Amino acid sequence: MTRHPLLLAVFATDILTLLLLAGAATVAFRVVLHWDPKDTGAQQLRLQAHSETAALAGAWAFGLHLFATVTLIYALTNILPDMVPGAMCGTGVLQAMRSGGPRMLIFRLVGLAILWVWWRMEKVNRELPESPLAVVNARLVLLALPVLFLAEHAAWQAALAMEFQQPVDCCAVIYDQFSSLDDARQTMGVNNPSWMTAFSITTIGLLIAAITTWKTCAHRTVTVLLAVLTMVWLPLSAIALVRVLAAYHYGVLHHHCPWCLFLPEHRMLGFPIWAAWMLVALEAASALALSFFATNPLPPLDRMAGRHAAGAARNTVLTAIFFVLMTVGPALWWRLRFGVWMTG
Amino acid sequence: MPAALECRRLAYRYPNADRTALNGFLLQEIDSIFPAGQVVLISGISGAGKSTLLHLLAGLRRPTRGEIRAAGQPVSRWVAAHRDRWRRRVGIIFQQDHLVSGLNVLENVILPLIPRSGGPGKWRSMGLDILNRLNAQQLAGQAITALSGGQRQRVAAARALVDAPDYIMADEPTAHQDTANARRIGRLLRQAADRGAVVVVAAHDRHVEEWIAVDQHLKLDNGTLQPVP
Repeated sequence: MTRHPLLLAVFATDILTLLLLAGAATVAFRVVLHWDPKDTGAQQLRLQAHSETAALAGAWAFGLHLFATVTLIYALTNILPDMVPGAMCGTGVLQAMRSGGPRMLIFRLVGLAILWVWWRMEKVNRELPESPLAVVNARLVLLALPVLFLAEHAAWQAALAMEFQQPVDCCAVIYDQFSSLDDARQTMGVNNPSWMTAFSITTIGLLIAAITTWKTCAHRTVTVLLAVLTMVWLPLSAIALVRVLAAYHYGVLHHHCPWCLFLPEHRMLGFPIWAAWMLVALEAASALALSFFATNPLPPLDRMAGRHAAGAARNTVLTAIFFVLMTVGPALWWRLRFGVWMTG
Repeated sequence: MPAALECRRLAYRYPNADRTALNGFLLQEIDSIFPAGQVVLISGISGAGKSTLLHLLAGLRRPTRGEIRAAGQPVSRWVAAHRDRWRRRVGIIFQQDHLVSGLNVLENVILPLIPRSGGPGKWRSMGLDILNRLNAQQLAGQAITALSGGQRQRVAAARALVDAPDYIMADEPTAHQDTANARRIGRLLRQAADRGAVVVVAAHDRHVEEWIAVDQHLKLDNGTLQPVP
């Protein structure tokens, strides 16, 4: 196990996050059980006061978790490769972490998604004096706590599994995925141009759905369609980026590594590109969650939820466009410059 | 025109209160309406809970039970951000004046105007106007530490009234005042009520009614409010 200060900072931040979230969860548990906005008794008033403090703790936990996640990814991609023999990017470091590494990342991103939606909903909740989303938000806090706990557990396992004497294969693993050029030109039995076509069509569909959600203040059907399209778009865009478009950043064909994009040699473009990819998911999920309250019979809540859902849909549009510019842009530039695609 | 302030089953207990009497509740089950356009006087012995009630009405404390409604809205139960915004419509004359010693008199008076629109010139003229009406214009440039108790109380009154608030909570507003100055304060509170504000005055001085034209007199006793005939 390494005691690199950056990793220690991540662990310390994670512990603080868990403590804050655990505090918020104790209040959230009581909110779920006892919240009654019509009651003016001592218990309800105390709960209202405590829920304000818990929301503040939740917001800090969200901010700290976001900070720790970005710091961890920086450590995985730019610090630890120098310490793990044979590692050149995050792929090698994750290999050294064995199964704990990918699990840690998955739990972290799921936890981030839950807290992101909670934060979006809490903004609506705080804009209305009666806190009408208190119970829903309390449930989200209760959901986030075990996920972040599992993320922390996986992180410890990953850190303990790392051995700095044993070399890893790093990018060789990526080249081992195919034995011929034909294999390299396809993913899961489907050729790469077909993946690109699917990515292009889904992107257009996603943009249309997101713009419609934005302009209709989160009409339920369109928002559900946006969520479905986002779920399809996420793997398609990841495949298109890693299998085809990353080549225009790397300048070599068939280097199907998602982590090398984070390296300084590639201007650390992995950070904005994957952040945009993640934001599309988070904002589409927020728009969907908020759209359920945009038709609420309580008039201020429906207006507020509709406005925030529209804002989330607008952010989906902007981040999806940014993702496309950052990924497809270099390919188009290459085509204009040399008159051919890299793949011929 | 602001709407009435209404207490519904309002109860308050200090967190570390001795629970031998009234189970520790200083105020209990108060159901009262403080109408707009009226001056309501709350009297009671020292320690009866007058100041605490005023702090509750002004949104400075959260009730232990019950609620306070303004224009039908349960303002005492609102989350802090909304309650703070509502509190901008409340002017408070504190029993301990709570003036800022690092600022001079005029700067203290215009403090509530700073988050509002307008500029320093307008704030200054409004501050000087209210000080003039309280016979304190000559104090404008003085340091707070140089003032007497009565002067401090008039500056505190000027600060509470400078923004023409919709809800005015005055805790012993005529303390340390001579008759002329007490009448000036009383006149300003009456004028505020006449323009439609809710004015609640807490005092244990029996002479207050001579200086302030009161519409309603309530007595706080054993944690409850009773009308005084």
